[in-house]
Amino acid sequence: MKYKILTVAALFIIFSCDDMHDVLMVKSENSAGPEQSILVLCEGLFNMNNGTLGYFNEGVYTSDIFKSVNNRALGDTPNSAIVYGNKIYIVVNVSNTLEVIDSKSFKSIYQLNFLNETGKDVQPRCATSSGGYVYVCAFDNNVYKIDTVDFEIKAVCQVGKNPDCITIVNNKIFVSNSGGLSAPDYDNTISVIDIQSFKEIKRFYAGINPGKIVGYGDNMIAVSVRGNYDDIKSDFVIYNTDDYSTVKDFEISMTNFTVYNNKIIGYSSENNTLKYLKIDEDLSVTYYNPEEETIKMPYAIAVDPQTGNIYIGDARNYVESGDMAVFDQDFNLIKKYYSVGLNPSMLIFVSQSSTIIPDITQDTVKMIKVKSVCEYVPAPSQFVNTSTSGYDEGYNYQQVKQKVLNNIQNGSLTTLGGLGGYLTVEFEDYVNNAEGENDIRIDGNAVTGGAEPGIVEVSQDNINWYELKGSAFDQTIRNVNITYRLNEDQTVSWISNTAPYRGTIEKNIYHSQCYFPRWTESPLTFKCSRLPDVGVCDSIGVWILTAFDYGYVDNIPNKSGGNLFDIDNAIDETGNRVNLARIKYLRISSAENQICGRIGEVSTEVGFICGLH
Amino acid sequence: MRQLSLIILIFAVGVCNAQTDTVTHETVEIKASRNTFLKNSLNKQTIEAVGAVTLSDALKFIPGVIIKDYGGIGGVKTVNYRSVGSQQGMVSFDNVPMQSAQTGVTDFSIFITRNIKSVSVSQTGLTVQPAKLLVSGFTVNIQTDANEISRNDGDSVNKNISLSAKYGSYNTGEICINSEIINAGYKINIAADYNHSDGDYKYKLTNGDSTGYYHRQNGRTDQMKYDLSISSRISPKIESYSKIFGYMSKRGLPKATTYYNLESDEILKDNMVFCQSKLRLKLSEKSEINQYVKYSFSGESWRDPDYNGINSSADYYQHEIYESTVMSIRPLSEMFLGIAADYDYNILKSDNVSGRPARHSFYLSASGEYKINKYLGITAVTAVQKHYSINKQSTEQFGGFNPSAGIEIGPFEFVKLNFDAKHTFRLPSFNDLYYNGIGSRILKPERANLYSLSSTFFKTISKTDISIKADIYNNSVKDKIVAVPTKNIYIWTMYNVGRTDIKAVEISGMIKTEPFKKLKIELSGTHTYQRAIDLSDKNSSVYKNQIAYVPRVSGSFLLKVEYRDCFVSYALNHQGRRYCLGENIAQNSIPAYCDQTVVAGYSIKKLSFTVEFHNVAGVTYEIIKNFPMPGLSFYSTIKYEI
Repeated sequence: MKYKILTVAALFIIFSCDDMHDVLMVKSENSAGPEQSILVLCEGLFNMNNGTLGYFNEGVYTSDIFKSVNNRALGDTPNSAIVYGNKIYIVVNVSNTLEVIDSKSFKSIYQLNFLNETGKDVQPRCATSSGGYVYVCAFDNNVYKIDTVDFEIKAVCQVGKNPDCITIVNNKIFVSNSGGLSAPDYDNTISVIDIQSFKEIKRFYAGINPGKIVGYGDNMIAVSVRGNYDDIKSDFVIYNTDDYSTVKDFEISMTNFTVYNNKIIGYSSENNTLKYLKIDEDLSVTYYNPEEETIKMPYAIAVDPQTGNIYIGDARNYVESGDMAVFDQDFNLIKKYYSVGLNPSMLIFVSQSSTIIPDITQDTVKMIKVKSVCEYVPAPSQFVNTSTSGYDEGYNYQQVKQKVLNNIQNGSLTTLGGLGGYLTVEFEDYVNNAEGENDIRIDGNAVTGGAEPGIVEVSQDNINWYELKGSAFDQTIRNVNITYRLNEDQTVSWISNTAPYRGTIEKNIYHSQCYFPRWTESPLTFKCSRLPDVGVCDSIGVWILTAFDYGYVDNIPNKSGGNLFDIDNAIDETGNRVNLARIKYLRISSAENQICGRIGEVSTEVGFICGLH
Repeated sequence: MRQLSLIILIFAVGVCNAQTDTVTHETVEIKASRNTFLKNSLNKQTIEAVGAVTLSDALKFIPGVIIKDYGGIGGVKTVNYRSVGSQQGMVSFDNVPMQSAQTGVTDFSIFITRNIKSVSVSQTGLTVQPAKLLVSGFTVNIQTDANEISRNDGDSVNKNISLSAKYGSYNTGEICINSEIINAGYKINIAADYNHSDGDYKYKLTNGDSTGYYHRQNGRTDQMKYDLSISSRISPKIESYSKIFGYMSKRGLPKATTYYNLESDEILKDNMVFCQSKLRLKLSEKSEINQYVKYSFSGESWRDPDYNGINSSADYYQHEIYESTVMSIRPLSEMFLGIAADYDYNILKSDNVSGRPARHSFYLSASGEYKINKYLGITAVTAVQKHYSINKQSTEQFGGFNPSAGIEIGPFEFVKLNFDAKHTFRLPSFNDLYYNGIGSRILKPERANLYSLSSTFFKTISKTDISIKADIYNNSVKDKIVAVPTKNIYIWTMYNVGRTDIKAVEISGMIKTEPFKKLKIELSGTHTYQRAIDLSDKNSSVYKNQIAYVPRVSGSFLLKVEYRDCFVSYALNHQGRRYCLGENIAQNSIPAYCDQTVVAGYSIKKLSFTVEFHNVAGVTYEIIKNFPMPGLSFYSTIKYEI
């Protein structure tokens, strides 16, 4: 009895008085979140399985939308996420997965397990996308090409040591080979992969331990070179991707950055001293000193495409829940949101347009590919005679058309140039008109505030053509005749039968080649329709190219459904609706005649094209 | 002889205040063993009763001890005591200090459990011993069977050889020999142990709504340990104790249960051998000199075929030469004085550490203990240490002063009060200073102030021993050496940051009785409540939060019943809720658990059989986040004594 009492007493002592209770996280005093919808990817910590995908929507923050929706964890150390089409691709480094989720519902669509055939971890690190493929660089020194239809790895390309970041510009994939897992023997190169052949075509020296790499403009890449954290200092360099020449070696520290309107916005936290900086288009550097204690350890940076406000993820000391701060364009703090998650490494603005995008990549949906390029006549522009116009040194028209076909099938961009430039393609089979549904997918490269609309026409026989009616139908100027002429000094001038009657296509600093298609003869005349100007220059000199409501290529971002077209909208020359059961030919024409400052002339770009029914 | 009785005496002095130097060590041992409980000590029987596979399994029954166990049967296990980090601790292995200069910690799975006579953990320890042991934040004192010379006055040779074989869950097997040959004037101990385990235990992995059962990967271990000791009485005034100890292993390091990627291939190979010897010289009735010498080699090799960097392997080689001279004098019958001077040399060679760091360490201590009268005793230690860490033409110097003092008050014969205070620091290890990319040469030592007030009660009432102990302590650690990610989560650097304050209450009690002839019952329990809070940065969200991996409450319970030749024991270990990171938020929480073990044994003549059931309730638990521990497992042992 005595022992029984003692036992009970002992057990009582042991289980009692555990006053270890969870503390509640400190929430922002400004309880309402930002107006924009933002995804906050938090890496968590190694071996902790605590990566999260936070989500600000309509002022409410969900700390892990992935887990809330899918009832399972994202995994260990998600490094990178991209929005592509109507899906989000999340690269989870330690879990070795690529999570594919729906960009609206966040429901898991697919989980790609990256273990290779020998069971070795590939440790995927960073992703980018183009032409219906997602490209993922992994610490096992490879870049993987993943199909966005069946999510299978279609090809592998070996690059340098422990690639850290990946970007696509100028029809090439650029990968920064950090060698970070091999410290102190860091790598120091950037690998260049041709997007069509998916072969490494060049590897060039970029400084010790290159990290973040972002392609922008038409042919620029900006690279943050981190050095060895010891005697070799970090650096920031911009390269030209045509000839891999150095545009500028800034000899400054840039820990992390983003590109917004061709400006580089970033920060440096070298030597534990935080500085914000901006690099303008003229490559001048401006520093901003941070207010005391607003940010402890910046870890992510992004710019709201609508307001231009700068968002910074703060990792604090990497072992406590991090924060997110919002700054205006001059780094004045607007708002701070506390405890968004452990190590917020990526902030992604997601458009929440109400358009319902059919999931065109589902297996049930047919995909009718483009069989051939019947005609390709771009009007003179800055992209002409680059690979964006299917051109390479000495190509004839046939070769150009073949290259453009490859571009379309791979989803690489093809420019139509200025007003009148057009592209005609034939599908491999008839594209049926499904009632009430979108039937054709034509990707553009429009971003919000960057519309370069082109008009779509369809045909059954390549003889009778019908325009797809867009929202600016009533304001369209028809029967425009425009003639471009190559002058002896290699400049291009044009005359038109409607106002404005004449003008020139000026060369800009990004493109120095001749802008007149080399495989054609001058002069070049187009009979076309012209849409109202989209570009407006705001008070600080930034051009905003506002999209029309619907119906044009390269107008509304693809991810918002701007790449989907319905054959029901076909009209005849008098504007009356025609009933087309099916079509076989498609023509897209560049429909703007405007020059917008540094952006240059507005020119429609076309990516992947396919029929859906 | 006096040294030994002195040591044991000091051990026992907390309770038995009537010892004199005429006490033979056998009687002291009896006295001591009766009270080991109050001195945070476990004896051989208790180690067996809790079914200890490795020594750390036994240590967790000592209040205040927290084991860092990454799971697995023979995996790496380290301990911390009273929330002072494991690198503040030191192992005293048969009175010779043992600590890796590279990491600063000791892996407790290297010892031969069957060869251990007693193990104890204390913050203050003895006053007369090598100086290096006087300056640690806590000491795990391991005494093997070899560390004393048994009396054998007759001419006959006394042999005592036991052979045991163990087999059980996860294809775990162990063969062990532990033998003792005693002749007049010398004793030879030979212990050797080989064990293997597949370590592929089943565990539960929960991810949101789904639960899966998996087998732990890469848990296979093979370990070989040996301990050869010779103790001899060269002359009435000279005794020597020498030992060669070896540990070889190949262990899979099961990794965290990473969601969607459970593949694990990391392998750790150890090859360690050291020899140490003690020479004891009696100068007179009142003074003696103890000379300690040690040479140690440790080779460690790590392989990870999955690693995507260039170096998917790393080797570490360490050599240590250690020497200590301790002189003890007894000017008065109740006063002991000691002086110790130590020299320690460590060198490390590794692919992951550039250069070849070496360290010369010098320790000097003076200590004394004086029992003023029946009611009052005092102890005082002053020690200085100086270290020169040399790597690539640069030298980092560390030095400091480590005082400690204690008062003992005994108002009654059966009640004692002890107050102890100690100031200590731990050096940055070679890894902290020089590890490629992580180490930082500008580190300062991590300092700790330790205060404890302890009260003990011991009484025998009609064949029943009752021991009760209540401690309160306050430890504070400053300039903690911690790895902090600096550039991103992959790049960590060592920093001196942070301050921890630990306030705790520890209560333990034991009842030992023999109600009928040949029926022995032993019942003990411990309970600890500790507030170990982070005081590093007022503006931080972890300010005043409980530090990672320290539960607010923890406790253990042990019941052992012995009748004639059989025994049954039930052991329970409880750890309250903990957090895997500094923020005490739900996402970081690790649930409390209760691990229960049942052991039963039966001896018939020279044979004995033991069966062990571990984690009887089959609970799923983790000590380290995402490192699951084994569920219900079963082992049986057969032992034959010659």
